[in-house]
Amino acid sequence: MTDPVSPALPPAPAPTAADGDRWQELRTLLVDPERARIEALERKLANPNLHLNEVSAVLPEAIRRRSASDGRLGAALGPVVGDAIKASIRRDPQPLVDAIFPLMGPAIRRAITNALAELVQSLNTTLEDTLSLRGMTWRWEAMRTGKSFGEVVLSHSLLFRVEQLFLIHRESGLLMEHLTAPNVQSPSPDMVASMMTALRDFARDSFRAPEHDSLDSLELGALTVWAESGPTAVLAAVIRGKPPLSYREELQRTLEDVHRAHADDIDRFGASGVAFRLSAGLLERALVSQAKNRPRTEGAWRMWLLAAVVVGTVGWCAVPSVMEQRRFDRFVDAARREPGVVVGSTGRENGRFVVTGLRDPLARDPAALLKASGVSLEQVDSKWEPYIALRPEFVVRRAALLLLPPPMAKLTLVGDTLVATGVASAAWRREAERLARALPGVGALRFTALADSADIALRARATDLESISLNFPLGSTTLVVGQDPQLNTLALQLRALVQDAAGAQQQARIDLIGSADSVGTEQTRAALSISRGARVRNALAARGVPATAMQVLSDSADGARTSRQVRLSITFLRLDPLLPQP
Amino acid sequence: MLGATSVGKTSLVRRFIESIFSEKYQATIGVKIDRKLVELDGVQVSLLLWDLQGEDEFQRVRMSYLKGASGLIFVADGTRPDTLATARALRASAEETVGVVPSLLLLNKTDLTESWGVDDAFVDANGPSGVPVVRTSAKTGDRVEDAFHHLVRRMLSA
Repeated sequence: MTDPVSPALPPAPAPTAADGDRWQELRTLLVDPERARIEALERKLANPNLHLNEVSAVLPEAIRRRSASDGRLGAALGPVVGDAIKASIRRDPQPLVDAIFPLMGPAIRRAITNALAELVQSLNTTLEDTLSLRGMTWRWEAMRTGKSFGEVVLSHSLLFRVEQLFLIHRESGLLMEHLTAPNVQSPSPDMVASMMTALRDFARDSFRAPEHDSLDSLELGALTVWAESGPTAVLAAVIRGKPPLSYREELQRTLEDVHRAHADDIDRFGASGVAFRLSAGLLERALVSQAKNRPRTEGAWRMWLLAAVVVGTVGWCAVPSVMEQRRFDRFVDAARREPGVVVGSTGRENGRFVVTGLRDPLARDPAALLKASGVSLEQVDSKWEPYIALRPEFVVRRAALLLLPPPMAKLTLVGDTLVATGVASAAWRREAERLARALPGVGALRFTALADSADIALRARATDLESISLNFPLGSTTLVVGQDPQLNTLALQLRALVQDAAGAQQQARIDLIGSADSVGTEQTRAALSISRGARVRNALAARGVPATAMQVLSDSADGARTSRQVRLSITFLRLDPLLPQP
Repeated sequence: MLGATSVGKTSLVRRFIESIFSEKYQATIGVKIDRKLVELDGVQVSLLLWDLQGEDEFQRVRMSYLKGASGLIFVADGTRPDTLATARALRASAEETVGVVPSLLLLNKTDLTESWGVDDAFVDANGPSGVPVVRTSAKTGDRVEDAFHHLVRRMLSA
């Protein structure tokens, strides 16, 4: 084959049809496997379900690796998780409330206990100090020295109090954490921390102290600053009064715990200046104070009584209210779940619960839900606007109330089609078909599986009559003697049946089937069977049964060869109401 | 902040910082600590400025104060060419103590340019080499704020 792309060769002859086919063949051989692979890849790329599977297979490991290598995944997911929590709370706050309830309860109790203890202590002290002679003396001292009354009280009533704690990064002097005792002002603690570091450096440099020695105590009037140094952090406590030496051990222990719990955080802080949060309570335990033992005063019991009354009153008022709120919340939850009830708004007004919404008159009474939730009815103002719920069970119940189906009939809803099954009268069916179209939520009707009760009754009577047979002696066409009463009853019933069938737009057809036993030829047997049937038809016709409704047949069944009788078979034909009736 | 005596270190920061300490600290313990808040691209950065006592033939800067520093500001006086050499020497000592950290040279007193004895070539030859230079005036406030922004940006990207 010539090379069609080589410019060095003379011009190639024009390609013939055979050449074209070969080219096509060659191309197919060369390119098709690649093309198939490319198409498979394209299909894979275009199918999002495949991505889902692949991504889901590697997602947990990918998350684990990325979160181990840096914090950017956390930073990226943070806002998403925040939004998800917000959305979840907007949709239904109850799960979150349930989740944090066990945490909030103890925390609130502790906060209340602490606040009350402080209140009692401060009331106690204030009452004592303001009105006593000692209080007057302290006020005079405050005025004389220019100190605040609080400072004077503190200096006399406390052995020592740790007013501030500085946790300082040892190398940079940057402040990592700062705590103050209540009512202690501390402007610019970060600058103070740096200055303390500078002072310590200054002292060490000035006296050529070794690197590990440092200035760990400063005294300034009533204030003492104690500093403890660790490998990467310094903990400095500003103390008013005379702290016991044991407090230095406490400082050391606290600093050791800080190092143990936050060594990595401190290193990171040193490298990047990024703040971190200390474990709760870690530093707080070093923020202590010790009061001077005061002689117990006679008035103390009054304060305890007052505190007890306050606690009792708060508890008395708050606990039932909290319980009531929880019961009401339970009721609102139940109402939200209740079919046919739509809760619009809930809240509290003037100490009473308020709930508004919509209610289908067929739905359960919300008062019953309130009762079940244990909320007293007097506590709640509720306003329920009536509406029509289109839930299937409500559509069916509404249909049943309007159409009153007979006991044997059953209504169901399939999509928006009202389906009737079972047995009902034609009259009910006509009325139901007319009324059901007006029902909200019903788009179509299907009554085809509904049997007419008249048909069922006729069939039942016919089946009863079919169990009757009239017997004949051997070889005879005369009825066995003594069957006249039976014949009379039969005629009476058949007449009624024919009449009732006509009333239900049906035509009854009575087959009188004669049979003869196996004596004689087939021909004589058939003749005898027909004669017997004819005898019965005549007898019944004479008793008023319309002859047109009856026909005589010979029984050809095998079992008939042992009997000498005429039995009945009754069938019904539905009459077309538009045709003239026979 | 490091530099020779009377180049204007304290004046540079005085107008732009919060301080709770007296300036006499410098004379006593050799450092005064101030705070400067810089807002940069919506991020607020709190700088703790260690304004070190000026270096001259009678007193030396305490290099232990430089430990843990994230950035250094060298200050020289445009009207006194010898202060550039001091800045250069200070930079060498500082590098021994804290290594290479983002630094800036402020050539101060642009309000007195008529009596300046330095030009760019002189600064390159005699000042701390490789340190970006910002010409400032503590008196008029010219470019002082810019200089802090410049340093913070370099510290943040370091």
